[in-house]
Amino acid sequence: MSRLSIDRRRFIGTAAAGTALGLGGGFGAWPSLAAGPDILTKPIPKSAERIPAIGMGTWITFNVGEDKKLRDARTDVLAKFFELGGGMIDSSPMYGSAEEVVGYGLDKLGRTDGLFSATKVWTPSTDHGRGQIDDSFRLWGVKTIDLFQVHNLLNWEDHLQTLRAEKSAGRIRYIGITTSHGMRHGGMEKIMQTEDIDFVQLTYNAVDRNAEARLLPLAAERGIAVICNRPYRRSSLIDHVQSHPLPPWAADAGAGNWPEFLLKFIISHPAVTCAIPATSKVEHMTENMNAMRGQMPDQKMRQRMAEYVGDL
Amino acid sequence: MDRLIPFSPDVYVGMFARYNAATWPASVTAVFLGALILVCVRRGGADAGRTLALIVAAFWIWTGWAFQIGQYSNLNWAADPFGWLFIMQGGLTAFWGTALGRFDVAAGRTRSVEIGIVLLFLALVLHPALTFFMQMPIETAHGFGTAPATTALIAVAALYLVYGRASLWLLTWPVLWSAWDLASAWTMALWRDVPLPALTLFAATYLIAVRVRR
Repeated sequence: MSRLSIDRRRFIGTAAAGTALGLGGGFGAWPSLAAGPDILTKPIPKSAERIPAIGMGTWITFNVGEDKKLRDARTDVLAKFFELGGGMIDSSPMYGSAEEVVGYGLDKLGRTDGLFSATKVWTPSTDHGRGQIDDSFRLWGVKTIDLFQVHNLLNWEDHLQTLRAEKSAGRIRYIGITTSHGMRHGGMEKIMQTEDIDFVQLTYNAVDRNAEARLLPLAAERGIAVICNRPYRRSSLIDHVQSHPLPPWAADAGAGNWPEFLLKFIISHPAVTCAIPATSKVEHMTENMNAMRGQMPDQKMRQRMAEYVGDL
Repeated sequence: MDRLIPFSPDVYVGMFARYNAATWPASVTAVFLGALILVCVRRGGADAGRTLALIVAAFWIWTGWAFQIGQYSNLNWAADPFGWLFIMQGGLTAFWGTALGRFDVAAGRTRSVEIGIVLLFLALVLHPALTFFMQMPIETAHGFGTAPATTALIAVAALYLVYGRASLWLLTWPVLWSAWDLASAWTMALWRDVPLPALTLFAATYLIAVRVRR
């Protein structure tokens, strides 16, 4: 059996054990693994559609403007992402030219199969928001965008109405809301409790764990998919931990390097659907994507991982 | 702060190379206009002040339009409002210095004029020199009067060249911009780009202190 294949029976077994021992943090069951034989996919609760557990962010990394050399370099990153089973690409009009550069890459690769496109509307103006939504379709070069989110809850009441209309028209498949840096959790919780949304996006990683207290359990309860941004705290977390050795027991968590260690911690949470690390380097993309292969940590191991990283 | 900078330092630096190439020979024209400022200083008086105001205004408007809106907006959503603020600063400078005639170039060689000329010289050479000594591509250097940091320093230098403190309110935007510029460079650890806005802030503070004390 390949080193990369998932030990599905063991994962589900330990998950069930964790739940039985009360380690699941109130979650009824750990996610099952399915789809491809090698990669971890997770279901979108509202539809049961499965998506790969590692996606790709575009903040900073894909904002390269009109520089053709850099655009082509990002296209190489995109090609590796798809080659290794990637699905979700997340962007925003806030990210400068990132949407346009993603569209450039998709066009150059000549493919959108396997893509789960996710972007955002980010403006205080409702009318401008409609224009921004149209711009995203043009910039990505797609007829349907899988997920449209209200960025940082900005004017979320009006934008959610617009997005619902677009969803009804079939141009958008899912809608959601986002926060980052652990901010606006109170507002997000209120929306999750009162609005019919498919996704939330928030910051969650081995050291930023505020979401564990209320938002992740609420997402599980309400059937809302969760995207985790800033898995490496931009780069500061990975830069910090990489100056330390991996713990000898990392292999028990299925992690052969620090990117796998940090990403597996995130995507093994039962309420998490997808983590979206960003990179501009092909070799880093390979490391990121490998995190959704192989063994996943159980709840007890996750706790150990968080404590270890927190102590560094 | 890093949330306000949605690009990497290498992309930001590379953007200046493309901007300089795309707007060539604007940077050479700007240097000639800089030389014209020295002629204004030599002549002194109200007419020289009007010319000085128009030159500084042209730098603000060009940088707002060609750099901020034309180039930087590809990378940063904030560039469009920045661009309009640059253009507005240019309009205010032109109005204040020409229509109201409040730019009266100081006659003779005073300490203030000397500082102004030194600052103009530094706006021309400091960034290219730092680029050279830090072994970065020279085509990425910030041109005199065509890049935001140099334009802000030139605007402060111009106020050293005119009489009185009535025009000091025109320092508001150069100071705010330079504070932003300095914070951006610091956040990106782009040390080459730190001295110019830092010098602008220091020069503006010193000018205010000296003129208000009088």
